[in-house]
Amino acid sequence: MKNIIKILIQIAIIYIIYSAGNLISRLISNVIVIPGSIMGMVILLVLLSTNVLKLSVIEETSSFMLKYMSFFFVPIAVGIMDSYKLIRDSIFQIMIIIFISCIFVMYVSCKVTDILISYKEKNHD
Amino acid sequence: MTDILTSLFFILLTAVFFKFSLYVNKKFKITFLNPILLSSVLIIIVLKLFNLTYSDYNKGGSVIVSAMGPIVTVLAIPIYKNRDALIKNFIPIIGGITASIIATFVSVTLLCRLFGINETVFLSLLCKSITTPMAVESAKMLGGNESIAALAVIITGLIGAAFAPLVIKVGKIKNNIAKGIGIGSSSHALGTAKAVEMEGETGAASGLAMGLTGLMTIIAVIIIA
Repeated sequence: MKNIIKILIQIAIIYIIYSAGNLISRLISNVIVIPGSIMGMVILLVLLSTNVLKLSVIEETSSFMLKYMSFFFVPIAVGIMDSYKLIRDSIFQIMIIIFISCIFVMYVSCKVTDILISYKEKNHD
Repeated sequence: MTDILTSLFFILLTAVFFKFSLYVNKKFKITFLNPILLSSVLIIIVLKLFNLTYSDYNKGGSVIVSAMGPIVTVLAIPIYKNRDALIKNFIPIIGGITASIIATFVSVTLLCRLFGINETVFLSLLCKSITTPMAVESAKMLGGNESIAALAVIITGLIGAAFAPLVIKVGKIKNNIAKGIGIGSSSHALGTAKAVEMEGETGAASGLAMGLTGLMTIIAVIIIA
């Protein structure tokens, strides 16, 4: 029972931070679009860094959520069964474009970061 | 009442197929047999077999997706835990993300020209590497189609999550921060879901890259448009 209450409190805290993120996101939406979830991430980061919120208070529920993060994307992927119709005329070409571009971008970004990090480490040692 | 039962049924169905896909993924170790991809394909097959539509399924599906926002928020935790390593490598991280944004714009532009893709679709694909709300907004500013942008984001994420281990292996990427930056900046939250399963700082770097790439892309779009 005590555990259930603890988890419920953790969920509530996370949800409040996320909602605060949503609120700020809406307030600044005329200037720049930043999703509430990412705004929430910034708020949580600030709360943790300033020691207002102790990591141990929300860690248990958070690591559970992150462990199964993939699960929450399944319904979005199922949505392709309807939305693919939008690109039906050139679906084959678009899939190839997205595939090549995604792999290329991932490789370039990994490699550039990797090179810059080892360059930095070499210069410091 | 039936509505609640329907949504419970589809939530359960999704959970069962996901569990099964995790098992298959572990057993056969084929990277592109990603659990998200496999379970969604299985669910689509079941829906088609029983003549059900996506809107039937989405009664349960939307409940699952509603937890997505808080999960992205919670990504602050791995970032916080690895803050020292991330701050120390701040310049390489910004360099990697900048490279990723340029690589996205250049590759999408060249490939769309090559395949003769029309202007609207092209403009919708330009911001496919960032999270849906930001991509949709960018597409709107550029003059693309919002729904196509959202679809491109999902396909990009699925491909990124499925092929990340292969890119890292073939590309011989050793540094965990570099791996995470590549995954997060190319395939946003979907890729990050894969990155948090990987070792060390990969998940944290991916979560950070996802936020920063989105932000920097939006700013770039505001300047261009």
